[in-house]
Amino acid sequence: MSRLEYVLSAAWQGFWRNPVMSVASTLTVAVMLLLGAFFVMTDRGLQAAVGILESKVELIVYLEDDAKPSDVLELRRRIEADPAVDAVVYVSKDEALQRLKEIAARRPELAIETVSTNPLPNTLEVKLRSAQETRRVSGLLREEVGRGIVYDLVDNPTVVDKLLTITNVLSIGGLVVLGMMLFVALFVIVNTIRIAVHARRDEIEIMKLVGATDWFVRWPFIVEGMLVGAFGAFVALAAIGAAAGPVSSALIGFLDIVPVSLGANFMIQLAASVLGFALLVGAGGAMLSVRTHLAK
Amino acid sequence: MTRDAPDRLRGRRPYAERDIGTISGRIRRCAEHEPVVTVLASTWTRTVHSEGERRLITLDDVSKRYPNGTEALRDIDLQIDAGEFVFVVGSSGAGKSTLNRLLIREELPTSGRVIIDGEDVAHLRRSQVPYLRRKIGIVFQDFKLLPTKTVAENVAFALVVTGHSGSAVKEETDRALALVGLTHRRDHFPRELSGGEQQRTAIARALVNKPRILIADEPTGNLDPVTTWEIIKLLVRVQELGTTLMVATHNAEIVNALRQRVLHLDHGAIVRDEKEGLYAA
Repeated sequence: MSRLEYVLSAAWQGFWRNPVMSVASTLTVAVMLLLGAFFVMTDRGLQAAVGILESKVELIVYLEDDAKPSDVLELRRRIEADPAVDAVVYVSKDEALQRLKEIAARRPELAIETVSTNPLPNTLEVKLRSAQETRRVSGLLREEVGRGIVYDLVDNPTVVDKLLTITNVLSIGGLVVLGMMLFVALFVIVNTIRIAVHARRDEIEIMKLVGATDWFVRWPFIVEGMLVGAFGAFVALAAIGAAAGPVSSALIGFLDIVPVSLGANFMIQLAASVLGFALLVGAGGAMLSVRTHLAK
Repeated sequence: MTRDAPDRLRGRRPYAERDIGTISGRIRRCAEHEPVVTVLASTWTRTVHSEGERRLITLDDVSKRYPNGTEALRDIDLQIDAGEFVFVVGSSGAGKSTLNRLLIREELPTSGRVIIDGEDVAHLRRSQVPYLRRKIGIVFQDFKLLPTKTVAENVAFALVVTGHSGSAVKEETDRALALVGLTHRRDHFPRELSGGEQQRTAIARALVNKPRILIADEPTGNLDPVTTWEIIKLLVRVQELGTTLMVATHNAEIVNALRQRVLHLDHGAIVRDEKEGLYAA
């Protein structure tokens, strides 16, 4: 029996000597990892959605019918000068009506009644570079309302705003929950290993008497901790694998226009991180336990 | 981990003639049955080369006071040479166990120096302590065998956990079992053995790493008189093959029969240190 064999077989025996405790800590680790993976994936998906929505963010400035063209041009120049603004497009009321007619033609449930006058205003469509600037730019434009050129402003960034809020809350909340789960997982692993140390105290006593090094005594327990982590990672990854398809299609359905695809690369990275993190937590918990219970 | 393994496993340096048989002869006169030890393995013996190597254990003005105030040892000066057989006697609480714990560096002296094989144990780093312990085998009254391992596995355990592997483990285990006369019991579990056989297993385990010193802490305390003599004969054999023996005991008959060096501890002090001594002065 070599050293490696000894360490592995002792760790394996240790894991199964108290199966209830070992399975409990394995599942705790699995739940922690699942939560972690869920937050990472959701955050990633929402960020993708925000990115897509951001490229579509625009403000629509309704102009007074009797605004002077020179004033409109002046306003347009001022808007364009703002660094957050990507482009400003002038849409005349005729063009707007034309667009409406085209949309109506494609959608049979809409019919346009013949009207003598065009009720649509002339507009400026303001495309923004990023959603974060929406609030500021729309604030500036709102000041123009009632000064004779602009009579109203439509900003449609509420979806983006809400998505950004959700993303922020999720990242912070996720970190907090993850931290608590990490604490619980470490606590459970420390106790599992403490029991394993206790079960093998006679063996440890003899190992120390015959001159085994501290590391030789520790390794089986650290490997046992890593075993708990690895099993937990497999459970978590299996759950993710089984749920990923249905959940992501449900999400796409729920968010409607947002095509959430995380990509194979991302999923491989995620799986590797989950496994690595699990091994780290397992080994770390075991180290903590061994430090306090094998001292001397 | 296996740094010094080859040297250790290759067997001992050639050994010098010693006055083998003297103690065995005394035992034969004292006990009426045949010696159980029949194996002479030349690899278990060792040579004493020089004066420097001869002095194996030195305690220099050693005192040990435990945190609770108990003064377990007081001003101990002691030299033990390689190859000696030393009985440590004294009533319970006289300091025998503390002495053993100082030697294997389970405890450090409160003052004074404990020098083993030329090294002050207080100067050892934590990571070096295991290598000191490999120079010292130790057996106890309660054997401390692992119940889920066979005799051979118990002995091999001491090799595996000190970093040995492969065929060397089996060879050394076989040799140690042959030395204590338990080859035929190798696949039995401790609960299937008599007390004497269990203690012989423990001795094989203590010897399998070829320590320079064997400490026996009341090795016959749990054994009947006949078995006690078996174990004592085995210990004598081990000493004759070159290992230094320190045997703590309450058994006056054994001490008086062997007439070896006797170290008498009382209330933490050495009150008597006699060559060819008796249990009581």
